[in-house]
Amino acid sequence: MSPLNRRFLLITITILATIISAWVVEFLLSLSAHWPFAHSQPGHILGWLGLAIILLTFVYPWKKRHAPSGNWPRQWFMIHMLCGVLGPLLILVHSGWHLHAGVAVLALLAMGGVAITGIIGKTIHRVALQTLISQRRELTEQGLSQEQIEQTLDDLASQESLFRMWQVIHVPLAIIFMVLTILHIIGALFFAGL
Amino acid sequence: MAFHPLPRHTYRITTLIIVCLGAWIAWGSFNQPEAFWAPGHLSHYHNQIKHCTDCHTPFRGTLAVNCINCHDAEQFAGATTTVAEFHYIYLAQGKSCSGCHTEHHGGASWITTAILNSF
Repeated sequence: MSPLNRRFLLITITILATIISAWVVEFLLSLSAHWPFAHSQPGHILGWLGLAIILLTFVYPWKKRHAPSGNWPRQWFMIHMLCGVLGPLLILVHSGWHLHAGVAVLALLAMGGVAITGIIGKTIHRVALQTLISQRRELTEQGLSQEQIEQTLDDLASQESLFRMWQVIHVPLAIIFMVLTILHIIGALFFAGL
Repeated sequence: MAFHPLPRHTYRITTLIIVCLGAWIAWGSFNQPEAFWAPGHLSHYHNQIKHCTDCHTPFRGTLAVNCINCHDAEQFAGATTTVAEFHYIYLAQGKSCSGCHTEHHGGASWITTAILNSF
């Protein structure tokens, strides 16, 4: 098995194990309450907490667009990745396997799509970067510093066609997810009260 | 690293998808609200209810006044003295019916918390 296939298999197994674990946690929490955890007050609070963490992921795209002198906000990218996994994980515990309300289910599917495409995007960017090894040799021969070479290669990787295609999926899906989440929250408050 | 904006048509297509989704959800909210918004099916006790606002007051939840529209003194007159008196005192104290009663847990579910907790 090639290193890439092995890596892909490991990531897939990790994602599935994480999703199943979150649902097992929710199942155990629901047992003690006699009804779904999501319908309890702690379940609602967990939903708000998950949303707050997910909202942190939007700081990185904002900073990227407004960063001075085109500096890449590397630390915020790390936070973007961490919150992009932790937030959805909490939402998985909040929702559990109780898939009934159509709007909530759509929001959950969109969230899953954004999280998984995010993980795929990291892989695509890494692969794009590795294919630029010959570019690295050229830039080294031009006498650029190590930092300048890394920044140029990062820039070229971001423009690579597969990565651009991925962005066209990940970003719109994130926007659709936020719209569905807002509708879900309005609906929950409309029927359950403020 | 420079920022490379997405192609303009990406946002147009995304907006179109959101508008279509919104229209579908709006249609569903009037024609099949339970399928789009409810966390579960109504129990067999309440499955004759067709309008969400029969029980839910917008942004205020399920108020006792909505329950009393059907579960009035006349209905309790047929219950045991203990049950009728308990509910009369409970409501007189201004408490909410949802303190003991729940819903949207499926057609065959119990809707009284005390019964659920006894299992």
